[in-house]
Amino acid sequence: MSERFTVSILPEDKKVPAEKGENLLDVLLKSSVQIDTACGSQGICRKCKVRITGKNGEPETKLACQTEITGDMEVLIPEVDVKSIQVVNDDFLEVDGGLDSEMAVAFDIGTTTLKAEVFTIPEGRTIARISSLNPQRVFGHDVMSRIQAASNPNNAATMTGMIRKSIEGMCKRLLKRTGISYEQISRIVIAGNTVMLHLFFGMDITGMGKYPYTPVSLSATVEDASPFGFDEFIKTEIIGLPAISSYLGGDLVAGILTTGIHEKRETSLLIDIGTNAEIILSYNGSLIATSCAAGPALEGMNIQCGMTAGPGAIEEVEIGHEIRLNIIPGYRQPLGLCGSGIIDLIAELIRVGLIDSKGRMLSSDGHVSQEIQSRVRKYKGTHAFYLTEDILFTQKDVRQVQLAKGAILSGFRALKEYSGMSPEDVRSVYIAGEFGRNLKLDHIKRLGFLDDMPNAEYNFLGNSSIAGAKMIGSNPSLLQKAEKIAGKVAAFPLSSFEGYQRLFVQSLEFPGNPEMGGENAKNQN
Amino acid sequence: MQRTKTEILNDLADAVVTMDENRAVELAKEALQANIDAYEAITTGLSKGMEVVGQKYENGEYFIPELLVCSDAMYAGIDVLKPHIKADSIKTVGRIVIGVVEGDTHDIGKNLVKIMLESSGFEVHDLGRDVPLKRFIDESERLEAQIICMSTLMTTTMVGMERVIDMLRGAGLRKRYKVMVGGGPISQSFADKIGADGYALHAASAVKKAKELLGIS
Repeated sequence: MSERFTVSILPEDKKVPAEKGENLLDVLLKSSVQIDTACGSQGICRKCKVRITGKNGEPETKLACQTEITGDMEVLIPEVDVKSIQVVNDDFLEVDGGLDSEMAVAFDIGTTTLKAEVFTIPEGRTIARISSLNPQRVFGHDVMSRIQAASNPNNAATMTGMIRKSIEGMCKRLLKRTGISYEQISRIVIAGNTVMLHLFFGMDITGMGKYPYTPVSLSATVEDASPFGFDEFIKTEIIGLPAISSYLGGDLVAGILTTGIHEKRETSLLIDIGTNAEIILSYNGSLIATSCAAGPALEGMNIQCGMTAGPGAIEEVEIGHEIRLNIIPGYRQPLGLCGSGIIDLIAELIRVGLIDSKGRMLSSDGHVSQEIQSRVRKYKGTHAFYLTEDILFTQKDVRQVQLAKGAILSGFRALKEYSGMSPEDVRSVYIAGEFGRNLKLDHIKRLGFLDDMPNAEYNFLGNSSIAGAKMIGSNPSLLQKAEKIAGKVAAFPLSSFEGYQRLFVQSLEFPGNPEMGGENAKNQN
Repeated sequence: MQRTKTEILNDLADAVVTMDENRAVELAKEALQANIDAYEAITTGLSKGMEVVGQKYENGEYFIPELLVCSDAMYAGIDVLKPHIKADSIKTVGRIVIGVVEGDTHDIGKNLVKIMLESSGFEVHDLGRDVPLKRFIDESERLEAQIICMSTLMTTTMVGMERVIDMLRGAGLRKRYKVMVGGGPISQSFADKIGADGYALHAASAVKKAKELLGIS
């Protein structure tokens, strides 16, 4: 048995046990300390700064994610930065005295991020927004590792406690910041994937861990808030959205409700891009949905110099005679590439001929200046593109993005084959998800996330999950509609689709560069 | 003018690396005409090419589609040569049972490993995906395999690998087989924890590991 120490957390003065060698950030998150992190413990976002006093020493400022437990210690958590509560200034100012109306809070519980908005009802005018990381991430970054962790009932209970506490805490922070009272909050509406909804409502998730992926319940939930640990919210009810299947959750039902594709006569598509990408096709009066394992690359994870979108992240890249970078302000130098920056960079490298349609990085043949060309350098037996001297994008990074986009494109193609729809018939395409907000139509085409749909109009929605939760918050009778939608969608699992491997492999290639002629035609089949 | 044996064998390897299926077929025919032993044409020609492909895949230069197209070229060449293999020249490196464990249906990774193992001379019996745990043992016993390879992409089904090892122990068969595990969430430390004999990060390194386990260099 390894050595155990005590970590005293200030200013709360809470004492928690920790094992030698454990990561301090993990220990803090496990004990439900409110602490921000953005880079996935890589030590680059510097948001998890704490003051540590060891046995015999002066207090030092360190990054919790880069600190190992080596003995008893005292950790002072800095006051939560008010800036991390993003108040929508315009809405907030406009309200001007209307703050005493009836309100609701809408949540999107993501595996990685929790987002909430407080808004007036029935108008649905947003007063303030807040986002925070899901503290369950100490049990793993993806849904599967949470399910695995839940095979131990103690972990399951801890995860349920964590998420309830976070949601309650976020509600309180919203109220504190805006001066809205508890009594004004009529309801809290929660959308999220099926696993997150199960955990919030305290249902067993282990059945969803293996084929045939059985959930406990897919129904909508309407309960009083206080028994969930929301002691002060005595007049508030909690509404959980219904889900479609283990892999198609209440977030998606909310998205469908927002776009109205379930009521559309013409063929339409809704694509929610995240670690799991969901595609819903509305065709001939039916709704068919599938979920593709895109992986976290599009969110900047598993990428050598990747990071989540935050201060210091490169979010746009343009290659001309020189390189122009657009960096999210708030840090003195670029720290890494976030999802949209990664996509921009690949799209540009394809355009200038430094990545071919197979995804191979080329050290010659580029249609670019010598200076740009010279940024492709040998790196670990293959190549990397040096965006700056410190930020590089490697051949393996390109492969990660190909896996992500291959998963989405093959999901689209499987749905297409299965339903018999033709891309020419599609009239509207809705792209949802935080990542989708920054995605440009040009990227979708250049990287080949989807096949060409010449008659479609593209709409970029951002977080459609929270938008749907808001609709229900404003008008709870829509919950019945949501249940109808959930019941109507036919889940189509890709793994059971004959010939999926072939589709996936064919979908890994980039469509080639239209400016360069030949390549394009060759790869269209 | 007749070309030398070395030239033909090198070209066979090259046809695989350059993904040229037609050329692999033509060269296989040329090898037969030049009285090159069919088995040798596979092991020191086509398979050598696939080995290079494996290296390129490992360092990121080639990707899944390239690996599959290269293997198509290899198999096309093998199809030409196979009927001419003399029974006594076959030296199977080892016999392997492979599959994706129960509860998981993701099999692309397993298929890549299978290709690489076959190309280096292993006899591979593929049980497919969502394989009931006991079948790994039953089939290995029936086929007298030396290695059991298990794959999974999901963290939730990893536990099945440990069960197979426990079942082997329970039946007193643990020493009879080498157990290899792989797949997205699998790591060396997980392999150590469950008492597996080997783990490989890539399809290409799985071959090295399998040979190492059987004491073949």
